[in-house]
Amino acid sequence: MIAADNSASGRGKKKGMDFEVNLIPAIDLLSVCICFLLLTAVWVNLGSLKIEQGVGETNAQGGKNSASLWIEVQRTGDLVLSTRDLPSGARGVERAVLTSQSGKVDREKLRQALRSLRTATPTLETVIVRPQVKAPYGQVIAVIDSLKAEKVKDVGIAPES
Amino acid sequence: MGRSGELKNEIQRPASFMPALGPALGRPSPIGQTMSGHGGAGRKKRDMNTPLLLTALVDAFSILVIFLLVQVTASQSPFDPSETIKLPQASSVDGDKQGDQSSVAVLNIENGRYILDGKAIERSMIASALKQRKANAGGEIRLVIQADESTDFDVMSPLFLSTAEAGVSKLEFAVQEVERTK
Repeated sequence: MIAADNSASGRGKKKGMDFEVNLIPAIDLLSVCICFLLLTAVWVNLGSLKIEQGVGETNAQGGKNSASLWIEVQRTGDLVLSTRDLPSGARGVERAVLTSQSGKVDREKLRQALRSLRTATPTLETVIVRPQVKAPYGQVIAVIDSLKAEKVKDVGIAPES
Repeated sequence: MGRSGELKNEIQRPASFMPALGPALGRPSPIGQTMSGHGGAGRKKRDMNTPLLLTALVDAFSILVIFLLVQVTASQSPFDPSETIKLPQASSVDGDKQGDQSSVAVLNIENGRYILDGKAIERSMIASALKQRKANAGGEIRLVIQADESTDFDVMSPLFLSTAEAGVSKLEFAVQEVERTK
């Protein structure tokens, strides 16, 4: 339209002022970029579960240990729960067994047990996971994951030697 | 013009208003010219050309490229498990994936072998290697452990003794993040 106006202005033949950007190469380039990025993208989202391990002198001052829950992870996925150093009068558990569900840790049972224990003893913030020698690593992680989901502050690992 | 003439115009109007590729881009389309040129027989054929809005396509592609570039840049992490390792799944992962990369040591456990920062290492040498790594970093280091979910824990147990010996207290277990199921 602009070109038509220019040519009609009467001052001879002028070069057209409108031009078209050739978009086809741009589309080709972008398509290649998209294909490359889609192929190289990492679709598995990785994360990490952090734990703090005790290093150095262990309670050398002879101070009182805080209330803790010890979870023994067995090879079959069963969990054995024991409480230690609970305040006097608090109701704990001694080798309470949470059976696995088809060879895997029953997270729901663990969640319920943990909630009931923390309701009875609100100061219970330390949980030590104690995997047996042949316990699968995946089951240990499942236990730690459940503990993190329940907002347990201190999670530690004490493997069997 | 009578009533029949008006009706004829109304019927013909949509065909005359149908946009073609040529006019949309400012010049007649060669395809359109070819089609109309070979129409023959004096019959007015319906224009088969439709405008292709390339600008919108380029916009969409550009947005896709930017999105993918940002995602690729944001997903840089120290975790790089090999193909043979199937990481366990977890939903309650901790944040701060980036952190200071210089203070991160990555230990892979593959088929009972220990690989620290890409180099195979004997079990008895882990503690001294971690001590060296800690000295190089000039302070605390984080140890990221990557192991297959089916690994027996007896392979990992000596590791905790080594880390305690080396004075490494911050341990991280690399996991595959999944959505939390209720």
